[in-house]
Amino acid sequence: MAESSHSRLALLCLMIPAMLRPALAEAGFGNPAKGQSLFVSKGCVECHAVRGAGGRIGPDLGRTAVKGSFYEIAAALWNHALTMSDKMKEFRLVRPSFRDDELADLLAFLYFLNYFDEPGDPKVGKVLFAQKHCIQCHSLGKEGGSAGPRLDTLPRGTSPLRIAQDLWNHGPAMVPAIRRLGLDIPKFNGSEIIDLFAYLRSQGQRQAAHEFRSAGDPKRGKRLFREKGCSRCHAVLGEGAGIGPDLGSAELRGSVTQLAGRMWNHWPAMAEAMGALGMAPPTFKGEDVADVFAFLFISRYESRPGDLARGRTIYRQKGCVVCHGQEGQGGGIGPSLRGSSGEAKEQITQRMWNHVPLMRDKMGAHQIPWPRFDAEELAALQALLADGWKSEPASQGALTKKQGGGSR
Amino acid sequence: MREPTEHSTEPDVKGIERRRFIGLAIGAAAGTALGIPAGSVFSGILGSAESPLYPPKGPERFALSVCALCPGGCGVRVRKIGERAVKLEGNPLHPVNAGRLCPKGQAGLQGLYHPDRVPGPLRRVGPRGSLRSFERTSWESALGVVAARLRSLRDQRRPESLVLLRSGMGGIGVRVAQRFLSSFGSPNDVSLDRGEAAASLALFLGQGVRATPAYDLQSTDYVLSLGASLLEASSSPVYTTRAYGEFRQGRTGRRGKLVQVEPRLSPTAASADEWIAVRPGTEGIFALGVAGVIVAEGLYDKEFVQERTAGFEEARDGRPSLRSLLEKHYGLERVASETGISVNVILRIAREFAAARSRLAVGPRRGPLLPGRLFDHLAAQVLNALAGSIDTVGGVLVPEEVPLATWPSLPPDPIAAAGRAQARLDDAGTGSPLVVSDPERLAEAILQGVPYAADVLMLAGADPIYASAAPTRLLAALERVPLVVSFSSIADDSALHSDWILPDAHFLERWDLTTSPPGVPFPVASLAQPAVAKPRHDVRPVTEVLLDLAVRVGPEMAAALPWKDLPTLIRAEMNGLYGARRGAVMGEPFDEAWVRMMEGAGWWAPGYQSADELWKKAGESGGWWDPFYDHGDWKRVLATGSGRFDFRPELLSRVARETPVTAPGERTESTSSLALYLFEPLPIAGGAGAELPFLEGILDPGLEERWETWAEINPESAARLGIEDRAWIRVASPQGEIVVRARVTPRIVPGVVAIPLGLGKRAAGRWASGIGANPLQLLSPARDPLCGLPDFDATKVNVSASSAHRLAGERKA
Repeated sequence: MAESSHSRLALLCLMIPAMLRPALAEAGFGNPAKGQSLFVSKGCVECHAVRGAGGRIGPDLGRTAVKGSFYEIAAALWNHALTMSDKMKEFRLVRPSFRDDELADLLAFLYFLNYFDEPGDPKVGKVLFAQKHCIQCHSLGKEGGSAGPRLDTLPRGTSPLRIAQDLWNHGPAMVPAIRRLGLDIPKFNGSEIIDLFAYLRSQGQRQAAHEFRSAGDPKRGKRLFREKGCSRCHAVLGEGAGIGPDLGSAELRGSVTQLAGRMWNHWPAMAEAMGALGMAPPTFKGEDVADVFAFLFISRYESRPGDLARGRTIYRQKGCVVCHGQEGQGGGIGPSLRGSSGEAKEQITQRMWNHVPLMRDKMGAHQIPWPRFDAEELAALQALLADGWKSEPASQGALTKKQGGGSR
Repeated sequence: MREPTEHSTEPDVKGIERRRFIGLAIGAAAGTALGIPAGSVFSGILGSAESPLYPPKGPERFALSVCALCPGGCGVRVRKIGERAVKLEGNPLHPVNAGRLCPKGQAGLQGLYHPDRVPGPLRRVGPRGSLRSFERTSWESALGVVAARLRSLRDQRRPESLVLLRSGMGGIGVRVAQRFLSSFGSPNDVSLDRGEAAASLALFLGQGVRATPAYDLQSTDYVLSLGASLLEASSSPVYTTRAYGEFRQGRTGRRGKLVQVEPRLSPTAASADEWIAVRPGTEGIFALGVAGVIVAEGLYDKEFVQERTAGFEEARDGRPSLRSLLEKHYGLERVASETGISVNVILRIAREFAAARSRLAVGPRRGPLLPGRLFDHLAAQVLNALAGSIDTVGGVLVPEEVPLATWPSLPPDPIAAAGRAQARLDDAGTGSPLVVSDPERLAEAILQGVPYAADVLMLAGADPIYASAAPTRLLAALERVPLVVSFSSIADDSALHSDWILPDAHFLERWDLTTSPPGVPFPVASLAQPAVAKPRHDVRPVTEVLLDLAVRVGPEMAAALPWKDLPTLIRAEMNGLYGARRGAVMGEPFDEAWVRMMEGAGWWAPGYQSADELWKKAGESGGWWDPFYDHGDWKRVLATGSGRFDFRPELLSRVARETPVTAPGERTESTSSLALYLFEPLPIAGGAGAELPFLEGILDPGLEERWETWAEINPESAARLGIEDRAWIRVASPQGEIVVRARVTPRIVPGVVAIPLGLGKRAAGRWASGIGANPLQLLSPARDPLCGLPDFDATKVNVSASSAHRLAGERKA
C-alpha cells in the first residue's frame, strides 16, 4: 500500500520532460519544470494566473506580462517589486526570496510560457481559409478545390508545428500553382496564422497529442540550422551571416506558430535569394521543424550582451552609486557589489531581487527614488556588476559571455 | 409497512453463540461495559476497541482512496494513526473534489467501524426474511456451493439463468462483473442505478452518443434548472457544488444567475436567484414555453440551428418540425395554464435566457433514484440547442471515455456464446429499446418464468426490495429464485431474503480503479488503495469473489478472467492510460491549467516516462486524468445519422398529443388526493446513508428534520385536509401506505405532498432499521411514455390524519 506523501512540492507534476532538460541546461536555460513548481510554492500563483489558472491580484502572466528575452522578463520582475511588496502586504502574503538556481528556474518557466499560443479561433480561421484563397485549391469536408491535397486528413488537435512543417514543405509546389492562378501568395499578419491553424486543427479525427519530449531538441535544431543552410543567410543574435534578418531580433519574437507564419511570409523572397546563391529551399521531415524552432526559441532567451560603459552610466544615473560607492566598493549605506564579479546574470538578478526589502527601507530613509530599468539598461548594469569594475573605463565595450554577464 | 414494535436492532445468527456474535459485531458488549446503553446511537463506535476512547498508537500516516458512498467519485485522504483510520478528508489533488468532501464522505468511517457489519459469509438455514435465519460459514464452503450451482447451470446449457442485479458498483467492479457474466454466458446484467438514465437518453436521442451529459456549470452565465437537484443529490455532489461556487463567485465581476423551476423549494431552489414554483410534472412544458418564445422572437442561435441541427423546420418527409410543435402546442396561454406560471414570467425568463452570454438548461434529475422524465430532459436539450449551448464553453458537454487498456477478447466458448445470445429477462434494449436496465420488468419475468426461469440471482450493492420502483413485486420475485446471493456488507432488506450473504469489503479495505463519475466532463481514473492493512472482518471484495468464482466454475471462465488478483488487473488496465499518450497524474490546479494549455496546443508532457512510473505516481497522487476538453469535436459529439443535433419533434409531439390540455379551473383540488413528489436529501440519497448515524442527524437543512421521514404539505392543502404541522399522517395509494410526520410548509406548492427517499428500511443495521418510511412503496406502476422508465411523478396519494398511528409514531420518534 502506497502512502500519500502529501507534500505539495513532491506531488507537482514535472511537466517538462527529462529529455528536454539537458538541452535546456546546455543552452544556459534554467529548469522550467522546477520553475513551474516554484511558481506555486513561492506563492506567485496567489497573485498571478497563467492563462486563467491562479490568482487575480496581478496580471495573468500567460497573457499579458512577460514576452521577451531574459533581460526583458527580469526588468519586468524588478520594476514590479515595489507594487508587489505593497500588494503582498495588503493581502498578508509572504514576499518570496530565492536561493541557488531558483530565480533562473522561475524565469525559464515564465519564458517558456510563450512557447504556447493563446487558443486560436476556428471560426475566424474558417473565414481566413476562404479569404487567403486556400479554399480554391484545398478541400475540407465537402467544400474546396481539388488542386491541392485535402486538409481534413490532418489529425484533430495536431501540433501547429506539424502543420507549419507541411506548409513549408508545400512551398515549392504551392507558390508556382498560386501564381498560375493569378493570386497573391498569402501572407499572415498578427494572429491570423494561429486562427487558421486552429481551424485546420479542429478538422479531422482526434488523435493522441504529440509528446512534448520531441517538441524540440535545440541542440539538434542548431545543427539543422546550419545543415539546412539557414545559417548561410540568417544570423542569430549577431552570430552568422547577415543576408536575411537576424532571427534573434526582438521583432521576430513570438510563439512558435507566429514564427511559422513569419517563416511562411518570407518564403517567396527567400526562395529567390536562395536561388541567387544556387541553393534549393530546404525541406524538413520528422521533428526537424520542431528542433529548429526549439533552437530559435531558446536562442532568443538571450539578448545582446550589456555594454560596460553604459553600465557605468546607468549605475550613476539610477542612484546606485549613492549607497554602493563610486566603484561598487560599498559605502556607508549599502554593501559592496563586487561580490557579484564573474556571476551569471541569473545569479545577479537573484541577489538584486533578494535585497529589495532592505534596499527599499534604506532608499526611503534617504529619499532616493526607486530605480526602474528597461531590458537594455538592466543588461548594461549587470555587465558592470559581473565585471566587478575590473575593466578600465577606457576599454569600454561589450562583454563577451566568457567574461561574465552571459549565460550561467 | 413494518410495525414499529418489530424493531430488530441486534442481529442474531443461528449457530453462533449469541454473546459471541455481539462481540464480533463491534461495540455492543464493550458499550455495555462502559455503561453506555446498548442500542444508543454512539454505543457501537464509542464502545469499540478501536474507538476514540482508546487512543490509537503508532505514527500518523495517510492513504488515498475513493469514496464509494455515492457515484460522485471523490478522492479521499485517510488519516491513520498506526493502523487505525481516524479521519476522512478530501484528496486535495483529486480533480473531482479538490480536497473537499460532503457530509456523506465525512461519515464514511462509521461504515468501516459499523457494529452491524456482516462478520463473514452467512448461509441461510431458516425461512427467508430474517437475519436470525442465517448461520456463519466459511468462504471455502460458500464459494464451493455457489460455484457448484453455477457449474451445473453451464452443464445444463442454461447459463442465461444467472442474473446480476447491481447498484453503486462503480469502478472496476462493474467491468469484472460484466466480464464474469459474459464469460459465464448470461445477458442479464441488470442495474438499479438509473439516476442518469433519462438525461443520458435525451443526449442519445439528440446527439447519438451513449453517455451521461456533463454540464459546464462553472463557465456559464445563466442556468435554467428544470428541478435538477444541483446542490443536493447531483451526479457528483462535491464536483457540482464546486462548479456552482465558481459559477456564483469564482469569476470577478461575473456572477452567474440560477433560475430553479420546481414545485418544491429545495436547497437548490433556496439558493437560486429565482424559484419558479411550477405544478409538479410541468417543468418540461415550462421549458418548451420558453423555447416557443425564443423561436417566435427569433432569439435563438441561428448559425448553430442552421448548421448543426435537424428537425427545426418542416422536413420534406412530412416529419413535424420543432417550430410548428412549439406554435401548435406550447403557446404562452397554454403553458401558463398548465404550469401555473404567468405569461409575463415565461416571457421574461425566455428573454433573459436568450440574452445571456452563455446559458444552460439542466434536466430534472433529482437524485440517484429519481432520473426525471425523458420529456423534460428533451425539453432542456431543446433549449440548449436553440441557445447553441451544445459542446461549447458553459454548455452541455459529452464526457470522453477513460482510455483504460481494452481487455483481451473472450476466449471461444460455445456455451457462453449461446447463453449471451438469449433475450434479457428484463427485455431492456429489445422490447424497451431505449431502456438499458429494467429491474421491475425483471421481477415480472422472474415471476412468470418467461422467457426462461432465473436460477441464480446475485445482488451486488443492489437492494431491490427497498430501492426499486416496485418493492413488493421484487420481493415476490426474489422468493421465486432458487439461489439468491447477496454481497451486502451491512445486511440490507434484500439480503434478508437471500440464501447466502457473502459480505463485501468496505471501500477503505479494497483496491479499486474508478472511472469518471457521471456529470464530470473530463476523463478521470482514480486509484483507490486499501487504507487499512487488512479488512476488519472476514470479508472479501465482490470483485475478488468473482475472480475466485471464475476459477472454480471452470477453465473457460478462468481463461476469461486470468488476473491473479485485483492489483494485477488494475495495473494492466492502467497501462492503457500510459499508451493513450495524453493526460497527467493528478496535481495542483496550476498543473491542470498547464496540461490543458499543452494539450490544447497539441502537445503531451506526461510527467512520467513509463507505465511503472505512472503507476507509482498515480498511487502517490490519487490517479490519472486529462483536464483538456476538446470543444466542438462535432464528429464525436453529434453522432446522429445526420451528424446534426436532432430536436426530436416527433417524440415531443407524442407527449403533446397524449397530455390533455387542462383548463385552469380543473386544477382546483376537490378531494384528499395529492400528487406524490419524491426527493432525495444528500445524506441518504440513492437509498444509502441511513445506516450511518451522523447522516440520520442531518437529513434536512431547512426543516431540521432528523431520524424520521416527513412529508411536506402546503398550508393551503393542509388546512383543507385538516392536517397540522408535525402531526402523523397516513399517505396511501393503491400500492401501499406509509405513516409519516407532516410538515406544513409553504416550500411546496399546493396539491402536492413531498416525501424524501432514503429511510424506511427493514434492515441495514441498527440505525436504519425501522426508522422512517419508504415512499417507493406507494408508487403507481406508471411508466414514462417516451422511454419506459418508471414514472416517479405519476402517483396520486390520499393523505389523512392518522390518529391510529400517533402512538406508534411517537414511540418511534
